[in-house]
Amino acid sequence: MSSSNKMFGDKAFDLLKDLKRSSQTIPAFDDDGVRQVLEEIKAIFEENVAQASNYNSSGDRSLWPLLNYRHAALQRNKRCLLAYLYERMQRIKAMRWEFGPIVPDDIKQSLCEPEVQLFNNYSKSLASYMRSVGDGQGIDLTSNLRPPKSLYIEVRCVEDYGKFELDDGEVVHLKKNSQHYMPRAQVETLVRQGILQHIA
Amino acid sequence: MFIQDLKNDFYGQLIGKRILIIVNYDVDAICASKILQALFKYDHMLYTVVPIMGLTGLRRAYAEHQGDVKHVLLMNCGGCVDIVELLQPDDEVTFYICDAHRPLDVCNIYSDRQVCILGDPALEENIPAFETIFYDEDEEEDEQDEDRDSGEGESDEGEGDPETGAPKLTRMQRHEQRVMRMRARRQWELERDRIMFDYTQFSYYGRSTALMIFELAWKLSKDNMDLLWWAIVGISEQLLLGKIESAAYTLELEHIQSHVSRLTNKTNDQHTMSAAKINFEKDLHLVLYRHWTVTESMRYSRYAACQLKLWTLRGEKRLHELLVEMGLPLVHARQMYNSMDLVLRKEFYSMVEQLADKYDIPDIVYGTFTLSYGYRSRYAAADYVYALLAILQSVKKHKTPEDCFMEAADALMRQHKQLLIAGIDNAKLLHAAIFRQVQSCLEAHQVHSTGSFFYYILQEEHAFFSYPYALALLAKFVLHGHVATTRARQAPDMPLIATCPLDATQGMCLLVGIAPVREDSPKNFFGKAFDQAAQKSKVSLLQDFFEPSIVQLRQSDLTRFLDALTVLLT
Amino acid sequence: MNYFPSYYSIEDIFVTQEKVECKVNTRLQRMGFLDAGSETEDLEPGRTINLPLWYIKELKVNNSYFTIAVPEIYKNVHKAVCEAETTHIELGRLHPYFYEFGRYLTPYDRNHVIGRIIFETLRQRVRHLLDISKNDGDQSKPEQRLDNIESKLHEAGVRTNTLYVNWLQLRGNNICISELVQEHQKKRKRADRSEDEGSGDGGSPSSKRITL
Repeated sequence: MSSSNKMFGDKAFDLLKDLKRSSQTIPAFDDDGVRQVLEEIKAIFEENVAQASNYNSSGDRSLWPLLNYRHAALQRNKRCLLAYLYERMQRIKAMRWEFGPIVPDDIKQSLCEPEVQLFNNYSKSLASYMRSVGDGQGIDLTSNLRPPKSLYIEVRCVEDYGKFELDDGEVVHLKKNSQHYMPRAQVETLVRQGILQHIA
Repeated sequence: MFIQDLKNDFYGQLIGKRILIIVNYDVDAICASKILQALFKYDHMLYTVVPIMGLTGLRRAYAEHQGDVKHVLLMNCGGCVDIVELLQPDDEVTFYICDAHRPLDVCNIYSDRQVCILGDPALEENIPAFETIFYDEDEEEDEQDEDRDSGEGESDEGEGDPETGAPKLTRMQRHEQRVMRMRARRQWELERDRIMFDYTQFSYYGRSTALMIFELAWKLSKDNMDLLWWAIVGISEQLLLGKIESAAYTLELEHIQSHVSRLTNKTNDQHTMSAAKINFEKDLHLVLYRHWTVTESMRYSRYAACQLKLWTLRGEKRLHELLVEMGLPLVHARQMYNSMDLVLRKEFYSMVEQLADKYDIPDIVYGTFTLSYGYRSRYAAADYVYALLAILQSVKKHKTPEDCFMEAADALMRQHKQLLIAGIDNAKLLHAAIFRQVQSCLEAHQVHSTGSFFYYILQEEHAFFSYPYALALLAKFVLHGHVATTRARQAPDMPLIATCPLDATQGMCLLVGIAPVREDSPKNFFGKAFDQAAQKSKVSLLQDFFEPSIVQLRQSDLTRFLDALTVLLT
Repeated sequence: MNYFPSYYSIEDIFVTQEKVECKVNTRLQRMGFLDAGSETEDLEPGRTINLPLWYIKELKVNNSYFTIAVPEIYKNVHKAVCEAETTHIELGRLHPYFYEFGRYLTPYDRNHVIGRIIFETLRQRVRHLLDISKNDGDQSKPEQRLDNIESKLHEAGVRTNTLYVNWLQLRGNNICISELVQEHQKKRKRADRSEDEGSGDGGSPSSKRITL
């Protein structure tokens, strides 16, 4: 056993530390870190198997504490790894609600392939669920997160967006720093996406 | 074309349509657009508001929304330029112009459909008659026909001109007739140029746009306290920036007072202490004194400072004399107004008023309105104007003029009181900076005279004075201050030109012309004069602002331009 | 805000990463790597080493290998608890996970004081916490004074208070930009800005214009 300064489980813990530091959006999937943790788990496991079989044959209990320690480390690594994946999954799900069905490219870059699939599948399930409820009409659960108080709202454009067509065919040119009065239902998504700002 | 019946011919036409509102970068326009937006909101009309700052901005804003909108509303902009010529709009686009700038462009006035000016033509001064400035194009065609005829020679001579049905004339006669006609034409053109020159010579301001729109709201029975207050802020801006005569302001006061009492009686929560209330009051021309200390407010107010010469040691003494006579202890005068003794605060106005004549500051008193709501908030209309101006001026590296515009519009709302308070603090800084600049300028004798006008050149870019409003305020203060100190007898009759570099890297500077002190009317001839001087000296001038007396030009051209202007004005 | 850590709780993983001081009781073969100061392969009895909590909690409370020492911090707080003067303690500086850590250590504390200390400390401080949550604005900085759980309570308090004030002033009805999007935009703006500054000439002429 090498006496490196790093304790068992430290690498797995670093994964979580990095994840927690970026509190909101998602950092790039740490392929390398995950692989190292997996390698550590494998190494511990192999050593333990070797010693356990040794223990079985000789009945020497002197290595019992070591075995125990390494087993705990193994469990610890597993827990960190799963927590890492779980937390990312939660954030990916939240992104569907916050960004809508399309996530910005730079965020997409930081997802790994299975995560992209998760996002797409989640998006699909949500869409089919929303279609299925509401007496065959479907309900957009992502809109009206707060009860609406008026049909129209006043919005200010904070980013150049371009032409935006309303349901009645009117085309509104959304240009930075212009101010508009528009139907609430149709601009809510744009407000959520930070293109418009709702002003009172 | 003028529209007088705003309710039917303007608002009634627009109901249910989508509207583009283009708003100029000034307080009056912001107030007017806020009132209008409130009206449109009641009727669920879709609208888009775009702030602009000059002709370029107007063109750009229109180009961006071209094709999507059929109804364009121009607030305090576009009245003085031929809007059809400038924007080249499609046939079905209609422009509604609500502009306090004068003189209005004649093409806008005589447009038969596409351009509608909101307002009463009876209030407009000497608009040239149609025949005197427009040549009938049919006649011109006739003439051309004839020209062609004669050019083609004797072969067609027999046919003559069927349209006019003129009898056949000999060649000689015809020639004579043409010469006569050309002479008449030339004379007519000369006359037209004279009329147009007379008409466009002075730039001035008409009725406050905000007030006009408020009256629309009143006629629609959709007015309320907030809308009225915005209208008051709009007209107060006109007064404080010297855009209108105080006589015109006083006349309007009466109308406004009747609105105030009507609305006050209409709302039934007037018994609650905290309800929003507008009161007519006699007030003092002292900047922001309710939110400042009395001494500072006096020092930084143009009128008081110039009459008492507060930048000198003697002036300072005189101020102390005044305070003593008022019975206002220095301790109190030097602390914030709202922490002054309640008794002193209550008597402050009457104390100043009594001594106004003695200290030669009679015009310090004027009638205005105050808005009070809640238990602590009480603002004069002037406080709002100064705060909004300061916000409009607060352009910084990461704060574009558009941001400032939006912030100013927000500050008008009672919910965003913190913006207004920040604006007031900014305004204090601005006024203090102006005073310091005036002081150093007068002490160093930096105001020079060319014989026909004064000029004052700021050498360096300045955080405040590189913006039009602040530069204009400074220039006005400098002129009044200079006239107050100088011995020259003709000084009160001389205008002032002030300039400040805009952007060192591009070598542009901002130039503003201020009318003479003795001139009562706020008419300003600099717009035209700048134009002519630029033509004579072949200097390229950027007359982009809707205030023609504020222009931009290359710094390297400045001397040449001033020389030309000197020649022109002597 | 109950605290029931799940298996996936990152918070709990952070707490269990903390080190605890232990005394070795028996000779532990080939575990010398746990003791940075030891040269031998085995862990000798009598040595004092720091072990992570996640390992400790796998051991029996009265195991024969290690004796767990109660950290000094709890002893220090004890006096303040008795005098009911805990509000001024900078708990966050003392230990970022004061309460949670203490909770894990309670079974190992033979004198049974930790349990009482953390309970009393929170009881005394919670009132103060309520006060500052009401008075601190939205932008108040994270404080050294508070431990992890406390700062979460504080955050929740401030948020609730802001929502309440907004509701009173009729401002709560606006549609807001989604939090994730906002964070994302901020990040992008920061990146843009640093690019700006990287490009050399600081005051770009276009940034300072006066016309619209």
